[in-house]
Parts: sequence; structure tokens; C-alpha cells
Amino acid sequence: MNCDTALEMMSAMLDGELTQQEQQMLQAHLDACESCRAVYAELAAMDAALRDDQTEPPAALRGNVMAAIRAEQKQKKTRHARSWLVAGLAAVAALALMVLSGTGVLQLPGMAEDGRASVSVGQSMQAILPPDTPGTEGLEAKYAAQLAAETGCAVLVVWDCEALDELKDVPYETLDDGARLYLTDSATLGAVLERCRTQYPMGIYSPEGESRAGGNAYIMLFS
Amino acid sequence: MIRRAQSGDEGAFEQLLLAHQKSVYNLCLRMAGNPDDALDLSQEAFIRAWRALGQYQFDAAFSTWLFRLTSNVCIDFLRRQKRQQHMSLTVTDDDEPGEEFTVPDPAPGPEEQAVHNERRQAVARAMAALPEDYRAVMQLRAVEELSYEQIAEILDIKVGTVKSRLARARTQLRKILKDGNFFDSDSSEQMPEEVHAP
Repeated sequence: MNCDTALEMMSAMLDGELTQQEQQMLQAHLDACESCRAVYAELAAMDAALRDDQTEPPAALRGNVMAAIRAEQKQKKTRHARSWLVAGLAAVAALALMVLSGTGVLQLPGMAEDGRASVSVGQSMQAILPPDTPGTEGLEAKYAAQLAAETGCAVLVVWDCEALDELKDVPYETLDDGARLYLTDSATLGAVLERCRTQYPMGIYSPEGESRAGGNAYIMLFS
Repeated sequence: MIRRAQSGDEGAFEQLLLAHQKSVYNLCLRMAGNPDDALDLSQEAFIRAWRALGQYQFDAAFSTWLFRLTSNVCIDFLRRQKRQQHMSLTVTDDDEPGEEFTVPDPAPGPEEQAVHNERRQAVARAMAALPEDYRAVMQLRAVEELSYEQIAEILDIKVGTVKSRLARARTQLRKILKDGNFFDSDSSEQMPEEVHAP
């Protein structure tokens, strides 16, 4: 073996990746060749120096990662909770359409017995959702319920949604928290409800008693 | 413990983090060349690991899976950096340490400590002068002492490539250090007296 070959093999020798035979051959050369021995020693010293050059990670690493993870988990839970609205709504959407297309008192079968009235911002609100549906206590929900009571219009809240095709020509107001409030009519609301009920978490708020606003409705998009 | 973390147990994940953070951080430090980026990259790696934990199939060692993820985070970072440098027309000379490179200041101490730290700095600087592919294999082999096969899996390259990259990396590293008198006789206590096959 010459020194060039030996040099090529030294790296693998250091890493224990030579075959038995290759090892013996290289060792034999190293035993006989002082300069190659020196090179090999230098390679070993480099490895040792590298192993030495390790730093403890900053304390912030653990804290920051765990904080980020916890924030993500919390966000996931909120989204998950909102998805329950969709499930609840699927059953109710059909009924809501019926109610909205006509005027008159909002009545849903079985509503009183189930105690489905919830989200009472004042006594005059009723939400067509099971009372323990997460997300119905949120600020948007309260605002929507209040808006429904004050205007006598139905209010549809759609979460995780920035814009909808059905509303692209409808003027809207941007609220403080970035939500979009569209003034439209109950036919449009019905159409949106129908199209989106399996895609987005939604809530619908309708004032008790007669619908006063002659077919108007609000849609709030919240992303 | 991994299973507990997979099912959402944050405490279990924290244990995994503690067990592996030094390795992850030092790999990032070696790749990025400075502690600030290394911290960002390590954090990114662990957060990605948390999100992707469901994909870990127990078919390889957890550390291998984690190293692979970390290596990808570093590669993405270096690519972005290169693109930015390219766009701002900065000339980077591959033979010299990048401007970004900083070695964490070692604590001052007695003279032996000072010499020791000098050597540490020298090897760190020399490593920073290597291309990123060489830095990666050297860190995984010399420091983490992984096998060629594990390294191949982590970096998604062939075992033969690992072998040749390491040989070339060492040659280049040795040249840099030799030019810097790293191997001079006053540091001969670092060299073993006899060389035996490992």
C-alpha cells in the first residue's frame, strides 16, 4: 500500500467503517510509515476537537418551543369546537331556511323542550344552536345576537371565512376585529347557508318574535 | 414516551426536547454559523417535529428522524440565505468563513483553559470555512458519532457519498488547521502516542 491509498482509507478507519482486511492492511502501513501515522493522529485530533466544541443550547429554546406548541394546541381546540357548529347546523339549516323565507314568529319544533334557546344577550335573543355549543359564547356570537335583536333581522355568522362568491358584489362594513358585515336579504342568506353549511362553522341568530325588517338579513364573515 | 407525545401529551414532548436539544442545537449552529440563527432553526425544528410527530413510524431511531427534520430546516435556511445574498449581489468567498460566522465566546479561565478554547475556536472557524455538505457530515459523524448508514438516511444520500464526503471534508479541514498551526508541537499532548485501529 502506498501513502496515497492509505490517506484515502484513513477517514473510514477512523469511523470504524473498514472491513477487517482493509483495517489490517492500513494498520500494517501505519506501523511502517511515520508520516502517515502523524496524519492519522491529526485526523483523530480534529475529531476530538470537534466533539469538544459543543455548546449548551440557550435556555430560551425549551421555553419558546413549548410556548409555541401550547399556543397551537389552544388554537386547534377553538377550531375544533367551532366545527361542531357545522354539525349542529346541518340539521338545523333546513329548518332555518323555512323560517327565514317567511315572516312571522320563529318557531322550531322541539325547541322549547330541548332548551335550545341560548346565548341570551338580553332576553330577546335566540340562537338556533344547542346551548353548550362551543363558540356560541364568543364575542362575535354576542354581537350577532345583539344585532339581530336591534335590527329585527336574522344574522348569519360564518367563521374561518374571508370572503364568499355569493357576496362578492354585496357592500360590506369592516368591523374592528376585521370581520366583514354584509347587509343583504334573507334569500341570499338562505343561499349562503345552504352552500356553506358543510364547509364552515356557522351560527345563525334570529330575533324572537316577528321578523321586523322585511326580508333583510346580515351576514358576518369572520376569519 | 414518544407515543404519549404523539397522542398530544405536551409534557412527554418536552422530555423528548430536553433529551435532544443539545444535538439539534449544535447541528443548527454548525450549519448556520451563528447562535441567533441556530436558536431560531432549533426552535423551528422542534415545532415541526411536534406537528409531524404523527408521521413517525418507529421504523428508524427517533434521533435519526429528528436529525433528518433538523437537517431539512437548516438546508431550507441556507438556500433562502443564498438566494438573498445572490439578490443583493454580495460576493461570498467559499474559502473564507462567511461574515455571519461567530463563535460563542468561551468563558475566560486559567491558561490551559485559554489554550483549550483557542483550539476550540480554531476548529470551529475551520469548520465554518467548509461547504455546508461537509459541515453536515462532519458534525453527524465526528460529534454525534452516527454510522455512515444513519448519516446517509438523515441526509438522504448514499453511504458511498457519506464516505467520500467525510474523507474530503477531513482533508480540507486538516489543510486549514495545518495552515493555522493547529497541529504544532505545543499541542502534541492532544495526539495519541500510538495509533491503533479503533
